[in-house]
Amino acid sequence: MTVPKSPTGIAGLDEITMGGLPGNRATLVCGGPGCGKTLLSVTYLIHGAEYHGSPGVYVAFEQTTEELLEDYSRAPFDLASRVEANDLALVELNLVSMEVAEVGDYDLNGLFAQIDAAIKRIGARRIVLDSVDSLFAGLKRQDVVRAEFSRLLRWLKAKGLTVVVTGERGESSLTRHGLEEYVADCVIFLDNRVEEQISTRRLRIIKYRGSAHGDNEFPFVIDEHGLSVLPVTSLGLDYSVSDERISTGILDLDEMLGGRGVYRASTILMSGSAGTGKSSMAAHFAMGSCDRSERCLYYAMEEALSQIERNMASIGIHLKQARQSGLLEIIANRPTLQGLETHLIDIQRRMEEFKPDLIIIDPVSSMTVIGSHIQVRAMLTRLINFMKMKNITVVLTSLTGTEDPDDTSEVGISSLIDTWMVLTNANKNGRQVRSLQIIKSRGMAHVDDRMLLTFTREGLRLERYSLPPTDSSGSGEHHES
Amino acid sequence: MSHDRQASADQESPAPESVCWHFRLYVTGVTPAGEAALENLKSACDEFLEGRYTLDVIDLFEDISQAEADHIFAIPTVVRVVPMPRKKVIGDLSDRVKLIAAMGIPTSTKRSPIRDVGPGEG
Repeated sequence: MTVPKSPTGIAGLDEITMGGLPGNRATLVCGGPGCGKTLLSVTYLIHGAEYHGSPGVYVAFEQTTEELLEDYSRAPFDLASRVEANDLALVELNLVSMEVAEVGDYDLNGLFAQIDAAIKRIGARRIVLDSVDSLFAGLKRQDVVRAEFSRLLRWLKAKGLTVVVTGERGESSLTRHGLEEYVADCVIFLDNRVEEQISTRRLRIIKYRGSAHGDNEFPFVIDEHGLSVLPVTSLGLDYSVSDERISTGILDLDEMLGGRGVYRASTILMSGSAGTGKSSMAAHFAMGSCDRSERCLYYAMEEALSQIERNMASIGIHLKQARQSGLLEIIANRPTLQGLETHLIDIQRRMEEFKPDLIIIDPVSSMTVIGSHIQVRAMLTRLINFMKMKNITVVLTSLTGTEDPDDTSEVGISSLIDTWMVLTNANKNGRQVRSLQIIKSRGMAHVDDRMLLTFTREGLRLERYSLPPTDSSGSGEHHES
Repeated sequence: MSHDRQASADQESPAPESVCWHFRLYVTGVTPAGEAALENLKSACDEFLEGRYTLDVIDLFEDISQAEADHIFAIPTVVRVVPMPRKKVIGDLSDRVKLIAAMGIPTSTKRSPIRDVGPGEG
């Protein structure tokens, strides 16, 4: 039997927990300082109040009400307006503001009474205790605190509330005060580590009684939209495969691909060293999309928007007009400005908003600046899966250091690619000679000869080498492998 | 409603010690610990602060707002409101010496704070 779920509204978390936190149970959210425990908790309450008619009580053991209202004062986390609307109540129980002496026996009925009053006032269905460490740290009688904390959880569950307890991570145990012994239903661990000066956040469901859950470490980001866990969508490979073919925007290339271009919702990679024409080809794909009156999202990772538009205009590709038509959106974004996950989330978010039919990432290899190859590969796998499910065609370019086609394994994504083209650039008698070769193109007949690639005012042309021989020519030749 | 059990403050000796002390004792209904705390507090106050203290007993089941303001989590809790700074003691106050020390109640030179705890005089 699976437990009823209480949705968090956190993109990705509800997917890996198959619907949310265990309803009418207690969930422990633990991690080091600044790992996002409070943000997760606040998001949970606001989401419940806003979308599920489930008012919530936030019990703050460490922060003051003023601090909380200040920290969460902007959409989508406007605590004050929720408090005003009476579907969120703040209970401040600051144990450190005043020195407390303990003389004789006591219980925590004061805490119970305050929580009870808040629950009754707003008809709460959810409650967050953030963070109970100060309760354990602030009182000497650990026997009393443990018994009372355990009683509190039972009491809240008996009242039908879903409980989130936060706790600081411990040295030898999961949490400093062994909270995992009490909160046995679900445990979520948040981690924030810095690798090569880039902070990476990870979330892991350590335990979820009575429910299946993703048990890997999932990267997550915190930005102005709040907390998002990757993957934002499900992990499966079960998308329907399209038979439809679309133009690459280059007639000669369409011709090489069985005369009909690439499959819709397939993944196309163009790899090559600097100046081989990768971006120009990407721009053709963009225009081809616009010519079909379809929407294209172009991620430019290395060049500024004006620079791209100027360069492409010189070969007859007018991106500016396409942008003005609303069919093309170009996002010029240097990868180093953000972490890998932030990029992925940003791409997914823009896709949700813009709903493109084609997406270009130029070059995808620049991502390796900000993450290890394994991370980049994992990220791209998720991204490509996501886009295939949405029936989006993906065009990637990859900068390789050498002319060696195998060099693309630096990104290690070749297995994800449906159509892979390698671009080369050789200096022949003082002339730049560019060429293109289709390494593979799944599910279609294609020309696998190396073709001469030329730039004209009307765009890119591809022709067989034999026609204007600049040098030793012929199909399938290899200049410098 | 809170039960006000006030000991009158006559201010007979105008000295620094003439300040009228004020305590709030928080309880939840009638419990053995709450009753014990009240008895123990009154006993100590009557001995060392006779005639110059007031004590409010606040039942959280009847009035929660003051408890919210004072961040009351444990029961019983006594808060020393006057003189400043505020002090908070939780428990049934069964240890008289600790109570007096924690609340900073001045013990007169003639009387030892360690005498037997008798029933409150008020």
